[in-house]
Amino acid sequence: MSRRSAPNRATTARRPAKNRRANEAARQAAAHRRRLIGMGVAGVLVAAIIAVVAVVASSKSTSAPTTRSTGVGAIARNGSFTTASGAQAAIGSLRGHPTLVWFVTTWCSSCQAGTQALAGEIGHLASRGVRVVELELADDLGQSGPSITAFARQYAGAASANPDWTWGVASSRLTATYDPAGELEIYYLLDASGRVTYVNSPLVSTMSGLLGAVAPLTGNGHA
Amino acid sequence: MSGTHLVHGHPWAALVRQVAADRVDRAVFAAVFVAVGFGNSILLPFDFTQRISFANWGYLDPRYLAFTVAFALAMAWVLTLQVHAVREVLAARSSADAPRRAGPLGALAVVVSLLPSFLCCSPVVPTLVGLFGLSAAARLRTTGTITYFFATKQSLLLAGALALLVASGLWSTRKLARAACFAGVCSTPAKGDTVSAQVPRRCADPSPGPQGGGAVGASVADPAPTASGSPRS
Repeated sequence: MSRRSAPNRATTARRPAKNRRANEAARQAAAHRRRLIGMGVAGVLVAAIIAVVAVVASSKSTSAPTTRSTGVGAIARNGSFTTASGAQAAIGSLRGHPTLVWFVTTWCSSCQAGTQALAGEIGHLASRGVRVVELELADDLGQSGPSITAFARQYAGAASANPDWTWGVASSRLTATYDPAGELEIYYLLDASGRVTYVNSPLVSTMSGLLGAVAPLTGNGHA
Repeated sequence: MSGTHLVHGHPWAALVRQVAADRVDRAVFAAVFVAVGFGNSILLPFDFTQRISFANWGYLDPRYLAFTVAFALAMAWVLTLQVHAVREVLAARSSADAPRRAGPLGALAVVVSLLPSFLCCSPVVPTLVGLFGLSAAARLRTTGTITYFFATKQSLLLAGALALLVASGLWSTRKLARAACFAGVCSTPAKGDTVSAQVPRRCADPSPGPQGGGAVGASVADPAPTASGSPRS
């Protein structure tokens, strides 16, 4: 067996080491690229989830409830509620005037924002003969929130005392009838005969649609 | 890429200076900060309007604003480090891996920060709960419980998401700073020396890691740095 000279052996030994380092660097670079691609895919997925949620939120807010008794065109089903002053009232007693019946939870952000927005429109609605009945969903959907009176004072301010704005708490049966899906807020526009003409939520983002639905009910002025 | 890897003082400070001096890293940082800040400013108040629209800016309170800025800064730093690490590897200046956990942790922080806005007050939870076929009373109770949690614990969740992201950024910074050190780039110049005349020394961090002899040779022989040692953008 012929012996290699020392310099040739050293050169041969350095070549595999250099190749190993180059391969290692290339492998790590490929791994990092894959990681970046993974991060990009994750980012796209997060954005897609956000988009889906936004679309679901938008589409659900414009669909009518599934129950026949509360869908658009149906006569609003009767049910009882207790006003802030402690008096018992019923949905059926609201006939004779176009009425906005709005079910809220007092701890919900959009309900707070909607009440503030409605406070700015109550004068306009009242001038067109529309009354507003804002009802806390039964037991605030089982959670502890401020009372409807405190809620009204905090978010509607002085407008909460408007005689055309009634505050109260819905009964459990009324809640189940008008909010079968358990949404935190939902509103119904009833015409003078008690028929449901418009259903939507959240109020703060659909105010223009509501005002547009009010117009045909009131014509040039009061109903 | 930076043409020199001088460390004056703490390796973390050197890494920050290296990133700040690199034009591409600065561009990545700025772009991510603007994008995340803009996105958060619109998405955080989603629970008020249930819309993704500029009208959400009307509900940005000091709490949301502070979180938006802090989160955008942290996310920009985390992603800039990721890009910086990949570029370091591609340039064969470091033989250490980029922080692997920073990406998933950052994504988790984003999801956690947006959960309260999207699950409170929107129809998502009622829709999902409705799939389980519960009774009406149970459905109302379950929906209320879940959404109430997100409505009332939003500040806590935002703080947790921010803490997660900051921890991820600190971890990434530490890992990269150590990786740069182990690549033999902890050189301290003597007065009047050029970069090429400096002798790299081992960092004080006792943790084991790759020697990075090839990277050291490359950095010493790099012709780009100026005599003052200022990094090349």
